[in-house]
Amino acid sequence: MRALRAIVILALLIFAVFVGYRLAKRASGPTVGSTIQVYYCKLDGQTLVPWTVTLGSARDPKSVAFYAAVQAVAGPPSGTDAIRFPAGTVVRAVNVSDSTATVDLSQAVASSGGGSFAESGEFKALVWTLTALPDIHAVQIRIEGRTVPTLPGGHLELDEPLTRSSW
Amino acid sequence: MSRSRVRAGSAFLAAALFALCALAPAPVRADAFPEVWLGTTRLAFERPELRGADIALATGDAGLQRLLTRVGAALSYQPGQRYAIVTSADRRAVTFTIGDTRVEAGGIITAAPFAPYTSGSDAYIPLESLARALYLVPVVVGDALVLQPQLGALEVRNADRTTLVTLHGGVPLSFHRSATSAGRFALTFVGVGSSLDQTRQVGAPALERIDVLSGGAARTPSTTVSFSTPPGSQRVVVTSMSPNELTLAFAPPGVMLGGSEIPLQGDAAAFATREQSPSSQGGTAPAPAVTNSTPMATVTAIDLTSAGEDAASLHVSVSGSADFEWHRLNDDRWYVDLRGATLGISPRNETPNIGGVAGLRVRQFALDPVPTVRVSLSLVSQRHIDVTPSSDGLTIAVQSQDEVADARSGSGHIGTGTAYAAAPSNGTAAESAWKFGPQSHSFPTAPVARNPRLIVLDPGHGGSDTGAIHNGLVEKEVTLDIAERLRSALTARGWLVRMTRETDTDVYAPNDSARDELQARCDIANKDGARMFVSIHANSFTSSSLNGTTTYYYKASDLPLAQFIHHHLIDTLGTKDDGVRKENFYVIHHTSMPAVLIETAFLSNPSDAELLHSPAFLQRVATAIADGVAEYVKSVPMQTSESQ
Repeated sequence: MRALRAIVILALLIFAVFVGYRLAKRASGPTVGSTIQVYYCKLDGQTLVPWTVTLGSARDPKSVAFYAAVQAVAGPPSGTDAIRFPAGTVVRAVNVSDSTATVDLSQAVASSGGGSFAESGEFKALVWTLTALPDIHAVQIRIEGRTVPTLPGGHLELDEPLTRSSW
Repeated sequence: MSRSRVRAGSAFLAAALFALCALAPAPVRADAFPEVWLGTTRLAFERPELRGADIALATGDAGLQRLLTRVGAALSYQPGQRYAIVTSADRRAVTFTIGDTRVEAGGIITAAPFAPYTSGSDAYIPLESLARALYLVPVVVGDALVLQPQLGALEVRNADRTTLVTLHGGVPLSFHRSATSAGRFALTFVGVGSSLDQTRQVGAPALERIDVLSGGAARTPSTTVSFSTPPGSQRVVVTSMSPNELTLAFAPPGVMLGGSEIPLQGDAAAFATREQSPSSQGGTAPAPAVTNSTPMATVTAIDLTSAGEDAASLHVSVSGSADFEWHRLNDDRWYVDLRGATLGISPRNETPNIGGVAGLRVRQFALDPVPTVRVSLSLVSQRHIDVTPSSDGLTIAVQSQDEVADARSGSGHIGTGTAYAAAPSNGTAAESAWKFGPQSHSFPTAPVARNPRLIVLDPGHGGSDTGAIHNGLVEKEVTLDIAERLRSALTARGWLVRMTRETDTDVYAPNDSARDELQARCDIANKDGARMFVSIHANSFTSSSLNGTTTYYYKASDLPLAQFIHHHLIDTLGTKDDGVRKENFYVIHHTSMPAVLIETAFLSNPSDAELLHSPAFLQRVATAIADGVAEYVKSVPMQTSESQ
């Protein structure tokens, strides 16, 4: 009788541990930890520097991709020399499908006054940041919801998804 | 560099606010919404909601957008998202999470009175937490809530003997200067309160102490910041990233100090974004240095030798590094692709009949997007093949027919370098980096041109598209001037030259789309089968400190042309060498011949701009490009036939 009770208690314990593990796993999301790496491009136009930002409590892939995109567009805090997206550039949406993140930026992104140099550094940092996330290999840029060949008066080709090997 | 930061004293601020909220009688009734002011401006929100003592603002509320614009901030939110993130003028991300009271701003977490929630396509975020994170302190004045802009942070950085002080404000800062006594001067900021410590001992060689004193009414505050400096100290204002910041530099006598004299009165906006101090580099966490180079290699020799009666060894000599991938086909054929490699020898297509190898073919299989050399073997029967990479190439051992052919494919890497290799640190120790750039300096042959004497020149921008405008220079005019000079130089050397535009005009149509305009430029060269395409531009950037000459390529066949032209530009111009860089720029991607895009110099840099104003300099640019073209043509012969 005592043996039976011990077995029942043991079975309940194993079940509880299993359920607890499943719940914990679901809550923490699949592969993203509590921090992500965000990149910025130094003023040499070539060197990408990662810094670590802490995620909030939303860790699902879509939230993380949005968070990462906003951080990359914001760039590092002032005081760090970086090639920066124009002030006021807003991330309107980020959607991920088939390992491509589609990032919709506001019109302000086109306001930097036409320099191939800045364009390149900005988008390189954004692409590096997003492709550092699990299961994202390419980034499709949109502006105000539309795919564009380049920024107005710009140079960098944006109508195809950008990857790390675009550079 | 030592770095310390006096943040507003968040704890103190929070305590003061809670005390304020607790002491003030409940300021509103549910049906009488409080007026909200930013200093002396009333903010009209469309659909605010009351949440206890705080106000919830909808992300789509135009009033919120106006508030953010006034303080230089921007909100990113997507319906359905769990994050709503406000980027402050000094580029801190203020993160709100749906269902979570924690608010994060620049690494500091505070608790909001309520958790952000969604309604319709909007997220509702707490005004008080948002305001505080943006250096705006809510003050209850009668029935109204006044958001008082603050000097929210004061950052002191010491580099060598120079001290940099950056004041961060909640709104664009304006000030007037006064001397309070010898060795002491003060800046008074109007319309800005302060939550900073009253005294800050700095103890630097050129700055002893900072005192902060604020006063005035809730809507019309002012704050005076006094700086105590040893006799003879120099002080200047240097440029900051946003109009909400003012950065002063202090140095003892004799130290070189770049910047502007601090005016008697002025706006921080006048010193914003155009320049960043070089001493402020690298304030972020380092990580290992990594180099990313597109693998670039050249196949320099192919050597097939007999290895016994019924076996053979094929050695592919490769300089540089490349990835390889081999496949065995069902019909006794076998091939290996060297990705990232160009063919530095003549293509081969022969029937050697050595050791079971009936046919050998070596060719440039692809140039774009990754240059690929393919080595194909036709075997007399199915053979086992061992593929062994080494630092100088690939050895392909075709075994005798006794051995069973098993594996169908394989891959690996050739060369000492790798696609992602550790690089020497750049600048400060422990700097982290990904670097880009071509590594190869070996040249394949040039593709065949239908019109081998024709060069198409593309003066960048034109007509409705001015390009960048800086220092009295308009990019579209500079590019056309250089192109006209280059046309003369090339024509004199016997080239046929076509320009995508010869006047100040759009190539496709006025106010056309970027694609139509850029494709029209490519079409001119593609249609006529030009041998080369040269696009001429001038660079610009928000920081005027950047200068130099860059030559861009995209296709593998562009690289030799880019390198020859760039070397001549750097040798003759005296501008800074910003390198030959790969970039997916539209006009060099969509042209079918070797093409380059030259950023001659920076319009936004005062000394580069001075050069671009000089006709003699523009002539030197043109001559250098023509010289580069001449050397390219001499060094990189055109393939005589594609099928070779």
